Amino acid sequence: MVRVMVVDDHPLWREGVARDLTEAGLDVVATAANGVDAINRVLATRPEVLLLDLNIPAPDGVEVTATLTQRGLDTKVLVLSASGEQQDVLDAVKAGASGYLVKSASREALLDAVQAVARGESVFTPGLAGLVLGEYRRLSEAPPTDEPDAPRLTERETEVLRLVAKGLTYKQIAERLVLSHRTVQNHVQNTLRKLQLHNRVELVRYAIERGLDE
Amino acid sequence: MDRVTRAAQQVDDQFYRVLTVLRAVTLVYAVGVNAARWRDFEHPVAAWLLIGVMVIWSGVVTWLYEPRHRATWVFIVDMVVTLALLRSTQYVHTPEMLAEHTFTLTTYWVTTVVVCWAVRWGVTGGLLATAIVQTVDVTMRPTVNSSTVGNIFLMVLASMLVGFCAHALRVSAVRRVEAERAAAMASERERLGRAVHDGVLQILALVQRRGNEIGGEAAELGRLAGEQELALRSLIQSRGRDEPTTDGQMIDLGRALDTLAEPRVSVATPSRPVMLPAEVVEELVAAIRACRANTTLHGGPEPSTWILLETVGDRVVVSVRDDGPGIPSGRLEEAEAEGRMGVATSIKGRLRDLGGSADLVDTGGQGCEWELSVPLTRVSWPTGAR
Repeated sequence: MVRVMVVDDHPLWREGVARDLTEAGLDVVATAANGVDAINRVLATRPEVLLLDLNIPAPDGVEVTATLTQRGLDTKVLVLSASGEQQDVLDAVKAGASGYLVKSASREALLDAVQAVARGESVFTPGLAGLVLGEYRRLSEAPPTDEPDAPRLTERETEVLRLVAKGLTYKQIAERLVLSHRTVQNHVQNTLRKLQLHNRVELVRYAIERGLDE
Repeated sequence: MDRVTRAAQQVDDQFYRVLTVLRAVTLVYAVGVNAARWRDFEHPVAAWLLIGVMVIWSGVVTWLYEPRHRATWVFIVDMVVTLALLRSTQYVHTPEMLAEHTFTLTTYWVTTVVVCWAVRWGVTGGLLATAIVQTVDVTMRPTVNSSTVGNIFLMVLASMLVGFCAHALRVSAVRRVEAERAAAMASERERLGRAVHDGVLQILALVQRRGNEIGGEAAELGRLAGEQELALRSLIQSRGRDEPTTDGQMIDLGRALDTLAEPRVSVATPSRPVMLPAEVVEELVAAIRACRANTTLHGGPEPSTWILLETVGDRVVVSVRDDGPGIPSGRLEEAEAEGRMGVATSIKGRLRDLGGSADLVDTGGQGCEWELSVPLTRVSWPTGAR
């Protein structure tokens, strides 16, 4: 049974999602309404999946994700956002979230996503794939002095990510590129992993620079 | 000190730093001129002592003009000392030197205090300082000649120019700070607005979800809530782009595409704006609508559509895919060869007019996919393209 925690400051929504998950046979180990409680309860209950709203009382969803990544927890973060603010979603994914869904996603889509994240897969909507593609393009166009060691996508990864952004399922992508389902998944996950690694290196470098200045 | 005052002071600081250089350069010049002619003086020893005072005072006053000491009395004392040194020329020079209008003991060094006054009190201050300095200079001469008039003229020009510039720069620095403050307030308002919108979106999404589960009339309510949720979400997403989205005739294509989102239409864009001339955006959106019209025409009952916006090198690529039956490869060329002008032909035409291209991607039976591509660097609409 997958152990899930739900974080949302909206009680109706939080309870509704928790009920859906429980009815579907998942184990909702905790819920929280703000960032502080979220971090504390994740540390206490160690869920496999954290269903996280980005817009919560401070620290916000992006900061919560960053904190959990920093602590090296196994908990996977699945972001649920009402507004789907592009920069917030991108920041959350860079900070370590495994996927993102808008809140209007159907109950089935949500349950599938939670299961997928629990299995260690990334959950990409076409919108998120477009954002990630854009981020890689931004990194590749930035002057090397601003973005040293910026990660690059391989041709195959770009191809796969573009197809995700165009709404193809992993199965359809596998068919079109004559690859296995697993390989497609690995490619997608790699694109995220490289971005997250780069983000961590950047944060450390930023911290060191700040530290030396003060 | 508030930010506005600080911005104005930063402008002043820069001026006084430049004036320090001016003071040093004119000092070196004055020492050089006097060293070359000290034997001509009536009182050479006094001259050297006075030059020493000038050197020391230059150092002291540079220190006094630093932001933490800079007060009105510094300007007045600097003026008094400068005038005293200037007037001492009368004692050091021979009457012949004075009559010939040779350089004063201080030469151009006196200009520095005049310019300082111009920075401090604008054109009025500069002109007042010029009047004081020139009165002291002229009244020790037995006659007035063309070089005196020339000197006065140059000093009036310099003080007016510097006074005006200092004032203008201060005003623009203050305006910039005020504009930044207004922008910060606007973004704070927007942040609050987003929080409110987020709450509304949550409710709409919830109504949609529960409505569908309950069924019947509630499902209809849910569907309506879902439509509004999507409309509000795309509005917020496009406004959330952090750079200005309109730049004269340049507008953000991503923002324009966001407005195309519907329950069956997904739009994927980069987080950065993709700026293109308004006409190009208009044509592209029209072409995308045409792609979709083609889909609904050939695609039977309501296929889903996915729109992807990318920048690839110096090109903007928009992919429009649907999960309808697709167009068999070669079919388009066939139709064109037969002289039939279909929707597809018009899409290609639109893109050609933009200096770009429209291609049907071979999807191997996975629906219909268009790739529309236009150059990113094109800024002006080509003449006669319409």
